[in-house]
Amino acid sequence: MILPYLPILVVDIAGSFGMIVFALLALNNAIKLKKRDTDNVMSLYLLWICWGFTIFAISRALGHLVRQLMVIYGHSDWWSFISPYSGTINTVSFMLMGVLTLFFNQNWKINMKILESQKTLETTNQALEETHIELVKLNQTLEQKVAERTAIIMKNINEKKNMAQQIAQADKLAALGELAAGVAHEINNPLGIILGYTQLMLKDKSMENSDFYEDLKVIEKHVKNCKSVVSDMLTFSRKGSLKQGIVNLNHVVDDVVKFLHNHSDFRNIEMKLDLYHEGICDIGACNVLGNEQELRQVVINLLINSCHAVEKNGKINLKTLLTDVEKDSSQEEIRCRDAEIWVEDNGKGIKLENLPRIFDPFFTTKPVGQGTGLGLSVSYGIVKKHGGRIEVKSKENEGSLFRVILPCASNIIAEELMEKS
Amino acid sequence: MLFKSLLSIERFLQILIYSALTILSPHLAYATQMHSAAEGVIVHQIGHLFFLISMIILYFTIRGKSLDSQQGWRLIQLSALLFSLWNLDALIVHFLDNQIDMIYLTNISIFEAQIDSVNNSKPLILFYYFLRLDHLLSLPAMILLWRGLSLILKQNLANQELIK
Repeated sequence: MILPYLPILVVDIAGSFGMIVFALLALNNAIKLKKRDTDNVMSLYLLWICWGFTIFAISRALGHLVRQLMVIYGHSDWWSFISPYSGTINTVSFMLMGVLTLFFNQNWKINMKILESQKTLETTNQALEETHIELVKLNQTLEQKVAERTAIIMKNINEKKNMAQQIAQADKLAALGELAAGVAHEINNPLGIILGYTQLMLKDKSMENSDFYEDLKVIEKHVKNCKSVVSDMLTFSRKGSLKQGIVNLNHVVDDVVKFLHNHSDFRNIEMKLDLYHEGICDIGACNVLGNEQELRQVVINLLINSCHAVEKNGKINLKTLLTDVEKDSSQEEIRCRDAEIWVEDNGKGIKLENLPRIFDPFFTTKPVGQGTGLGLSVSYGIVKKHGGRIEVKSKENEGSLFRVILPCASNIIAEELMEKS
Repeated sequence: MLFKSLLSIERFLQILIYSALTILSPHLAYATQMHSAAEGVIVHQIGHLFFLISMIILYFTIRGKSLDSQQGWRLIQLSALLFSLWNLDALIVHFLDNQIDMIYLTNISIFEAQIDSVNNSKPLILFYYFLRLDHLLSLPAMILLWRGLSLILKQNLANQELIK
C-alpha cells in the first residue's frame, strides 16, 4: 500500500528539533531552580530528570535526523551501520529515565524529612533567640539590681562611717567636757575671789581718783570675761542640773529674736522668722522635752555665729518645723517625730577643712578677743543632752544652715507610755 | 520474618534443583555466550516498557502526593502521561516492524512510501502509519515538561519574594 511519506518525514524532523529545543529549555529551568533553591532535594531531582530527558531527546532526535537525512540522500546502508549504536544509546537513555523517575518517591520522602528538620531547627532557633532576649533582659535587670544594691550598701557604709565619726566626736567632747568641768571648777573660785576683791576696791571712794582705778576696771572686765568662759564651760559639762520640762520651740525662737532684735550687732541684719503653724504649735505639737533656758542659749549661740558670719547688712532666716506629722480623725496634728529649728544665713560660710572641727571646744575662726570657741561646743552638748543633734550644711561665700533636730515631746511621751504598758 | 525464612527455603530448593540438573545432564561448556540480533530489539523494547512504567508511576505519585493541585506539577503529570502513551506507541511500532516483522516500510521517494503487512490488513497498515507519527506525542510531552518547570520556577521566585 502506497502512502504519503512526507508527513512522517516532516513530523520526524520537526519533532526531533523541537524535542532538543524544549529539552534544553526545560534543563535551563531546572538549573535555575536548583541555583535558587540549593538545599531542596526536589530541585536536585528535577535537575536529574531534565538531564535524563535531554540525553534521551538528543540521542533519539539526532538518531532520527541522521536516519532521515541518509534516507533522503540515498545512503540507507550507512544508516544500517549507525542504527544499532543509536538504538543502544536510546535504550540506555530510556533506562536512565526510568531509574531516575522511580527515585521520585524516595527523593520526596528525603525532602519532606529535610523540610521537617529545617522547621524543627527554625523553631529551636526561634526558641533560642527568645531565650537569648530573655537572658539579656534578665542580665539588664540584674545589672540594675546590682547597681541599686550597691547604692544601698554604699549609703549604709557612709551612714556607718558618719555614725562612727559622730561617736568619736561625742567621746572626744565628753572627755573635754569632763576636763573643762574640772578646770572650770578650780578656776571659778579664785576668779570669784579676784572679782570680789576688785569690786570691793572699786567701791572704795578713795580709789576713784587713784591711778589704779582704770587698771581695776580692766581687771574687773577681764575677770568677768573669764567667768563667762568658765560659766560656758560649766554649762557645756553640766549633766541634767537644770530643771526639765515641756518647751515650745516657737516660743523659744520668738523670745530670742525679740531679745536680740535690739542688740546693736543685729540692727542692720534682716531677720526673717517662719514659725511652723503657730496655732497648732500652741496646742502642743511643737513641744519638746528639755530646759527652756538651755535651748534658748543654743538659739542665741547659733544666731550670734550667723551674725558674725554675715557681718553687716546680711540676712538670717529662722524657721521651725515638724517632721512625720500624724493627724487624728479631725485632721488635727497630734504627734510628730522631730521638731526642728533652722538657722540659715547668707554669710561667708565655713571652709570645708574646718567643718569637722566646728564643734570642738575652743575652736574658732574669729579674731582674738571676739570669740571663745565654746558657743557651738556648748550648743552641741545641750542638744545632745536633749536627745537631739545638730546638722550643718555650708558652702564657702554662700552661707550656712544649722539644723537643730530635737525629738518631739508627744513622741517621747507616747514611747514612754508604750514602754510602761 | 516469615517471608525471609520462606525465601531462604525457596532459594535453597532452587540451588538444590540446579545442582542436580547440572550433575545429571552434562553439555559442552562455552566461555562466552552468543547473542542473537533479536536480543537488541528485546532490550530496546524492555527499555521502552521500563520507561512507560516509570512514567505511569510518576503520574500516580504526583497524584498521590496531591502535587497536582499546583499548576506546574499538573503539567509535569500530563507530560508523564503523554510520555507513557508515546512509549506505548513506540512499543507497538517496534513490535510490528522489528519484533514480529509484520509490517514492512519501503521508501519510494521523500513523498511516498510503500507499506505492506503480512496479512494485507489495511486497517493495520493505517494504524501503523499513524503510530509512526510518534513525535505528535513526544513533542507536546516535552513542551509540557518545560512549561511545568517554568511555572514551578515562577512559584519558587514568588515564594522567595514573599519570605523577603
